[in-house]
Amino acid sequence: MAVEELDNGGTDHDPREDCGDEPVRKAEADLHKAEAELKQAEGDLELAEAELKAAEEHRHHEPLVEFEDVNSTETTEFHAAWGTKLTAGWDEAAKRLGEPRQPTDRLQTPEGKDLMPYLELTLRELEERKIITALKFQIVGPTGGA
Amino acid sequence: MSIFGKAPIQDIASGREAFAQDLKLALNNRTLDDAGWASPDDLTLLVPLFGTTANGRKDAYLLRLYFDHYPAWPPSALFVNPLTLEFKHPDDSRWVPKADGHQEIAFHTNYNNQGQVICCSFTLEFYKVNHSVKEELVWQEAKHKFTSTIAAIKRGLVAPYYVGRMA
Repeated sequence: MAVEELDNGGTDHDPREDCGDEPVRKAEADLHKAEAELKQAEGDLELAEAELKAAEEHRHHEPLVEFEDVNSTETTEFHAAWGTKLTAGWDEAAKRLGEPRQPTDRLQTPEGKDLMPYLELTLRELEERKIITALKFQIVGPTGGA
Repeated sequence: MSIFGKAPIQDIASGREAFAQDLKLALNNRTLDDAGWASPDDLTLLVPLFGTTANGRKDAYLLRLYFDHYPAWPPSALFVNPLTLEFKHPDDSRWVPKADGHQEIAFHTNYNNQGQVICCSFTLEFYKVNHSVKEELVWQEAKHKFTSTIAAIKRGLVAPYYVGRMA
Protein backbone atom coordinates (compact mmCIF):
# COMPACT_ATOMS: atom_id res chain seq x y z
CA MET A 1 0.00 0.00 0.00
CA ALA A 2 2.78 2.31 0.93
CA VAL A 3 4.47 1.54 -2.37
CA GLU A 4 1.36 2.46 -4.41
CA GLU A 5 1.11 5.75 -2.61
CA LEU A 6 4.68 6.46 -3.52
CA ASP A 7 4.10 5.61 -7.21
CA ASN A 8 1.30 8.10 -7.76
CA GLY A 9 2.35 10.61 -5.22
CA GLY A 10 -0.48 9.58 -2.99
CA THR A 11 -3.15 11.29 -5.17
CA ASP A 12 -5.31 10.64 -8.36
CA HIS A 13 -3.50 13.43 -10.19
CA ASP A 14 -2.04 12.39 -13.58
CA PRO A 15 1.66 13.08 -13.35
CA ARG A 16 1.89 13.82 -17.12
CA GLU A 17 -0.09 17.01 -16.56
CA ASP A 18 2.73 18.24 -14.43
CA CYS A 19 5.04 17.90 -17.48
CA GLY A 20 2.86 20.16 -19.74
CA ASP A 21 1.09 17.28 -21.57
CA GLU A 22 -1.97 19.35 -22.54
CA PRO A 23 -0.04 21.52 -25.05
CA VAL A 24 1.40 18.34 -26.57
CA ARG A 25 -2.05 16.86 -27.07
CA LYS A 26 -3.23 20.10 -28.59
CA ALA A 27 -0.24 20.15 -30.89
CA GLU A 28 -0.96 16.56 -31.93
CA ALA A 29 -4.56 17.47 -32.67
CA ASP A 30 -3.44 20.46 -34.70
CA LEU A 31 -1.02 18.26 -36.62
CA HIS A 32 -3.75 15.73 -37.44
CA LYS A 33 -5.98 18.57 -38.57
CA ALA A 34 -3.24 20.07 -40.71
CA GLU A 35 -2.49 16.65 -42.23
CA ALA A 36 -6.16 16.21 -43.07
CA GLU A 37 -6.26 19.65 -44.65
CA LEU A 38 -3.10 18.91 -46.62
CA LYS A 39 -4.61 15.66 -47.87
CA GLN A 40 -7.75 17.55 -48.90
CA ALA A 41 -5.66 20.21 -50.65
CA GLU A 42 -3.66 17.54 -52.48
CA GLY A 43 -6.92 16.00 -53.61
CA ASP A 44 -8.19 19.38 -54.81
CA LEU A 45 -4.91 19.99 -56.64
CA GLU A 46 -5.10 16.61 -58.39
CA LEU A 47 -8.67 17.39 -59.40
CA ALA A 48 -7.70 20.81 -60.73
CA GLU A 49 -4.78 19.34 -62.66
CA ALA A 50 -7.06 16.73 -64.19
CA GLU A 51 -9.56 19.43 -65.18
CA LEU A 52 -6.78 21.55 -66.66
CA LYS A 53 -5.44 18.59 -68.63
CA ALA A 54 -8.92 17.80 -69.91
CA ALA A 55 -9.40 21.43 -70.92
CA GLU A 56 -6.07 21.46 -72.75
CA GLU A 57 -6.92 18.22 -74.54
CA HIS A 58 -10.27 19.69 -75.53
CA ARG A 59 -8.52 22.85 -76.71
CA HIS A 60 -6.22 20.82 -78.93
CA HIS A 61 -9.23 19.37 -80.65
CA GLU A 62 -10.25 22.90 -81.61
CA PRO A 63 -8.92 24.01 -84.99
CA LEU A 64 -5.69 25.94 -85.30
CA VAL A 65 -6.18 29.31 -86.98
CA GLU A 66 -3.48 31.49 -88.48
CA PHE A 67 -3.55 35.25 -88.95
CA GLU A 68 -0.80 37.07 -90.84
CA ASP A 69 -0.30 40.83 -90.77
CA VAL A 70 1.13 41.29 -94.26
CA ASN A 71 2.53 44.73 -93.48
CA SER A 72 4.60 43.59 -90.52
CA THR A 73 4.97 39.98 -91.83
CA GLU A 74 4.12 38.85 -88.30
CA THR A 75 2.00 35.73 -87.94
CA THR A 76 0.09 34.35 -84.98
CA GLU A 77 -1.47 30.91 -84.54
CA PHE A 78 -3.92 29.81 -81.89
CA HIS A 79 -6.70 27.31 -81.26
CA ALA A 80 -10.23 28.65 -81.61
CA ALA A 81 -13.59 26.93 -81.30
CA TRP A 82 -15.46 26.23 -84.53
CA GLY A 83 -18.21 28.48 -83.19
CA THR A 84 -15.87 31.47 -83.02
CA LYS A 85 -17.00 34.37 -85.19
CA LEU A 86 -14.39 35.57 -87.66
CA THR A 87 -14.45 39.05 -86.17
CA ALA A 88 -13.72 37.62 -82.71
CA GLY A 89 -10.83 35.60 -84.11
CA TRP A 90 -9.49 38.76 -85.72
CA ASP A 91 -9.76 40.58 -82.37
CA GLU A 92 -7.79 37.82 -80.67
CA ALA A 93 -5.17 37.86 -83.42
CA ALA A 94 -4.81 41.64 -83.19
CA LYS A 95 -4.27 41.32 -79.46
CA ARG A 96 -1.63 38.62 -79.91
CA LEU A 97 0.09 40.56 -82.70
CA GLY A 98 0.08 43.74 -80.65
CA GLU A 99 -1.42 45.61 -83.59
CA PRO A 100 -4.84 47.13 -82.81
CA ARG A 101 -7.44 46.80 -85.57
CA GLN A 102 -7.64 49.92 -87.70
CA PRO A 103 -10.93 51.04 -89.33
CA THR A 104 -9.32 50.71 -92.76
CA ASP A 105 -7.88 47.24 -92.16
CA ARG A 106 -9.32 44.31 -94.10
CA LEU A 107 -9.27 40.59 -93.78
CA GLN A 108 -8.68 38.35 -96.79
CA THR A 109 -7.72 34.77 -97.55
CA PRO A 110 -4.12 34.06 -98.64
CA GLU A 111 -5.56 33.70 -102.17
CA GLY A 112 -6.87 37.28 -102.02
CA LYS A 113 -10.59 36.75 -101.37
CA ASP A 114 -12.17 39.60 -99.41
CA LEU A 115 -13.63 38.35 -96.12
CA MET A 116 -15.09 41.62 -94.87
CA PRO A 117 -18.68 40.61 -95.78
CA TYR A 118 -18.32 37.48 -93.66
CA LEU A 119 -16.97 38.79 -90.34
CA GLU A 120 -20.08 37.71 -88.42
CA LEU A 121 -19.90 34.11 -89.64
CA THR A 122 -18.34 31.41 -87.50
CA LEU A 123 -15.32 29.42 -88.57
CA ARG A 124 -17.59 26.46 -89.18
CA GLU A 125 -19.97 28.48 -91.34
CA LEU A 126 -17.07 29.86 -93.36
CA GLU A 127 -15.79 26.35 -93.97
CA GLU A 128 -19.17 24.75 -94.63
CA ARG A 129 -20.19 27.46 -97.09
CA LYS A 130 -16.84 26.99 -98.85
CA ILE A 131 -15.98 30.65 -98.40
CA ILE A 132 -12.57 29.54 -97.15
CA THR A 133 -10.53 26.44 -97.88
CA ALA A 134 -8.11 26.84 -94.97
CA LEU A 135 -8.16 28.56 -91.61
CA LYS A 136 -5.54 31.06 -92.70
CA PHE A 137 -6.25 34.77 -92.87
CA GLN A 138 -4.35 37.88 -93.92
CA ILE A 139 -4.76 41.29 -92.36
CA VAL A 140 -4.23 43.90 -95.05
CA GLY A 141 -4.63 47.63 -95.48
CA PRO A 142 -6.30 49.59 -98.29
CA THR A 143 -4.53 50.54 -101.52
CA GLY A 144 -5.22 52.99 -104.31
CA GLY A 145 -5.43 52.01 -107.95
CA ALA A 146 -7.67 50.74 -110.74
CA MET B 1 8.81 60.86 -95.12
CA SER B 2 5.91 60.64 -97.56
CA ILE B 3 6.55 59.92 -101.22
CA PHE B 4 3.26 61.59 -102.13
CA GLY B 5 3.67 63.71 -105.25
CA LYS B 6 7.33 62.80 -105.73
CA ALA B 7 9.10 61.00 -108.55
CA PRO B 8 10.63 57.57 -107.84
CA ILE B 9 14.37 57.56 -107.09
CA GLN B 10 16.48 54.46 -107.65
CA ASP B 11 18.66 53.29 -104.75
CA ILE B 12 20.13 49.88 -105.51
CA ALA B 13 22.23 49.56 -102.37
CA SER B 14 19.30 50.30 -100.07
CA GLY B 15 17.09 48.05 -102.16
CA ARG B 16 19.46 45.13 -101.90
CA GLU B 17 19.78 45.51 -98.14
CA ALA B 18 16.07 46.03 -97.45
CA PHE B 19 15.07 43.17 -99.76
CA ALA B 20 17.43 40.77 -97.95
CA GLN B 21 16.10 41.91 -94.59
CA ASP B 22 12.41 41.78 -95.48
CA LEU B 23 12.78 38.48 -97.34
CA LYS B 24 14.22 36.95 -94.19
CA LEU B 25 11.26 38.26 -92.19
CA ALA B 26 8.74 37.04 -94.74
CA LEU B 27 10.28 33.58 -94.95
CA ASN B 28 10.23 33.24 -91.16
CA ASN B 29 12.71 30.35 -91.02
CA ARG B 30 11.40 28.80 -94.24
CA THR B 31 13.52 28.50 -97.35
CA LEU B 32 12.68 30.06 -100.71
CA ASP B 33 11.75 26.58 -101.89
CA ASP B 34 9.42 26.14 -98.93
CA ALA B 35 7.64 29.35 -99.91
CA GLY B 36 7.60 28.39 -103.60
CA TRP B 37 9.54 31.53 -104.52
CA ALA B 38 12.82 32.06 -106.37
CA SER B 39 15.40 34.81 -106.19
CA PRO B 40 17.67 34.67 -109.26
CA ASP B 41 19.67 37.67 -108.02
CA ASP B 42 19.83 39.89 -104.95
CA LEU B 43 17.26 42.37 -106.29
CA THR B 44 14.69 40.03 -107.81
CA LEU B 45 11.96 37.82 -106.40
CA LEU B 46 9.83 35.51 -108.55
CA VAL B 47 6.43 34.65 -107.11
CA PRO B 48 4.14 32.08 -108.78
CA LEU B 49 0.48 33.05 -108.44
CA PHE B 50 -2.83 31.55 -109.54
CA GLY B 51 -5.85 33.33 -110.91
CA THR B 52 -9.10 31.60 -109.99
CA THR B 53 -12.23 32.13 -112.08
CA ALA B 54 -15.80 31.96 -110.83
CA ASN B 55 -16.12 28.40 -112.12
CA GLY B 56 -12.98 27.36 -110.24
CA ARG B 57 -10.51 27.23 -113.15
CA LYS B 58 -6.98 28.13 -112.11
CA ASP B 59 -4.49 29.87 -114.39
CA ALA B 60 -0.81 30.12 -113.51
CA TYR B 61 1.11 33.39 -113.54
CA LEU B 62 4.58 34.49 -112.56
CA LEU B 63 5.02 37.80 -110.75
CA ARG B 64 8.48 39.37 -110.89
CA LEU B 65 9.29 41.83 -108.11
CA TYR B 66 12.34 44.06 -108.45
CA PHE B 67 13.74 46.05 -105.57
CA ASP B 68 15.94 48.80 -107.04
CA HIS B 69 13.82 51.61 -105.52
CA TYR B 70 12.88 49.74 -102.35
CA PRO B 71 12.06 50.37 -99.52
CA ALA B 72 11.36 54.10 -99.99
CA TRP B 73 9.25 53.04 -102.96
CA PRO B 74 7.33 49.81 -103.49
CA PRO B 75 8.91 47.04 -105.54
CA SER B 76 8.50 46.98 -109.29
CA ALA B 77 5.83 44.37 -110.00
CA LEU B 78 5.29 42.82 -113.41
CA PHE B 79 3.71 39.63 -114.66
CA VAL B 80 6.31 37.95 -116.87
CA ASN B 81 6.58 35.12 -119.36
CA PRO B 82 7.72 32.17 -117.20
CA LEU B 83 10.05 30.98 -119.97
CA THR B 84 11.91 34.25 -120.51
CA LEU B 85 11.24 35.93 -117.12
CA GLU B 86 10.55 39.08 -119.18
CA PHE B 87 7.46 40.84 -120.47
CA LYS B 88 7.26 41.98 -124.08
CA HIS B 89 4.13 43.66 -125.32
CA PRO B 90 2.09 42.33 -127.08
CA ASP B 91 3.69 38.86 -127.36
CA ASP B 92 3.53 38.11 -123.65
CA SER B 93 0.05 39.49 -122.98
CA ARG B 94 -1.27 36.01 -122.26
CA TRP B 95 0.93 35.92 -119.16
CA VAL B 96 -0.95 38.87 -117.68
CA PRO B 97 -4.23 38.30 -115.84
CA LYS B 98 -7.44 40.09 -116.72
CA ALA B 99 -9.51 41.40 -113.82
CA ASP B 100 -12.61 43.55 -114.08
CA GLY B 101 -14.35 45.79 -111.63
CA HIS B 102 -12.06 45.87 -108.60
CA GLN B 103 -11.92 49.33 -107.04
CA GLU B 104 -8.31 49.06 -105.90
CA ILE B 105 -6.45 47.12 -108.55
CA ALA B 106 -6.30 46.67 -112.30
CA PHE B 107 -3.88 45.00 -114.69
CA HIS B 108 -2.74 46.68 -117.92
CA THR B 109 -0.45 45.25 -120.57
CA ASN B 110 0.34 48.66 -122.04
CA TYR B 111 -0.91 51.52 -119.90
CA ASN B 112 -0.96 54.73 -121.95
CA ASN B 113 1.77 53.22 -124.16
CA GLN B 114 4.10 53.08 -121.14
CA GLY B 115 4.24 49.31 -120.84
CA GLN B 116 2.73 46.92 -118.34
CA VAL B 117 1.33 48.51 -115.19
CA ILE B 118 -0.31 46.85 -112.24
CA CYS B 119 -2.47 49.74 -111.12
CA CYS B 120 -2.04 49.57 -107.38
CA SER B 121 -0.34 52.03 -105.05
CA PHE B 122 1.90 49.21 -103.80
CA THR B 123 3.78 48.84 -107.12
CA LEU B 124 6.58 51.05 -108.43
CA GLU B 125 5.08 51.35 -111.92
CA PHE B 126 2.00 53.03 -110.42
CA TYR B 127 4.20 55.98 -109.46
CA LYS B 128 6.31 55.87 -112.63
CA VAL B 129 3.21 56.56 -114.73
CA ASN B 130 2.16 59.22 -112.23
CA HIS B 131 -1.17 57.59 -111.44
CA SER B 132 -3.46 59.65 -109.23
CA VAL B 133 -3.93 58.43 -105.66
CA LYS B 134 -5.15 59.70 -102.31
CA GLU B 135 -2.31 60.66 -99.99
CA GLU B 136 -3.41 58.23 -97.26
CA LEU B 137 -3.12 55.34 -99.70
CA VAL B 138 0.46 55.88 -100.87
CA TRP B 139 3.21 53.42 -100.04
CA GLN B 140 4.81 54.06 -96.66
CA GLU B 141 8.34 52.77 -96.14
CA ALA B 142 7.88 52.52 -92.38
CA LYS B 143 4.67 50.54 -92.65
CA HIS B 144 4.63 48.45 -95.82
CA LYS B 145 6.71 45.57 -97.12
CA PHE B 146 6.76 43.62 -100.38
CA THR B 147 4.39 41.12 -98.77
CA SER B 148 1.82 43.95 -98.79
CA THR B 149 2.33 44.22 -102.57
CA ILE B 150 1.78 40.50 -103.13
CA ALA B 151 -1.35 40.48 -100.95
CA ALA B 152 -2.76 43.51 -102.80
CA ILE B 153 -2.17 41.96 -106.23
CA LYS B 154 -3.86 38.73 -105.17
CA ARG B 155 -7.11 40.65 -104.67
CA GLY B 156 -7.43 40.88 -108.43
CA LEU B 157 -6.81 37.18 -108.91
CA VAL B 158 -10.00 35.84 -107.37
CA ALA B 159 -13.63 35.70 -108.45
CA PRO B 160 -15.62 37.69 -109.27
CA TYR B 161 -12.83 39.97 -110.54
CA TYR B 162 -10.48 37.53 -112.24
CA VAL B 163 -11.90 36.43 -115.58
CA GLY B 164 -8.95 34.81 -117.39
CA ARG B 165 -5.86 35.69 -119.39
CA MET B 166 -5.42 39.08 -120.99
CA ALA B 167 -4.98 37.52 -124.43
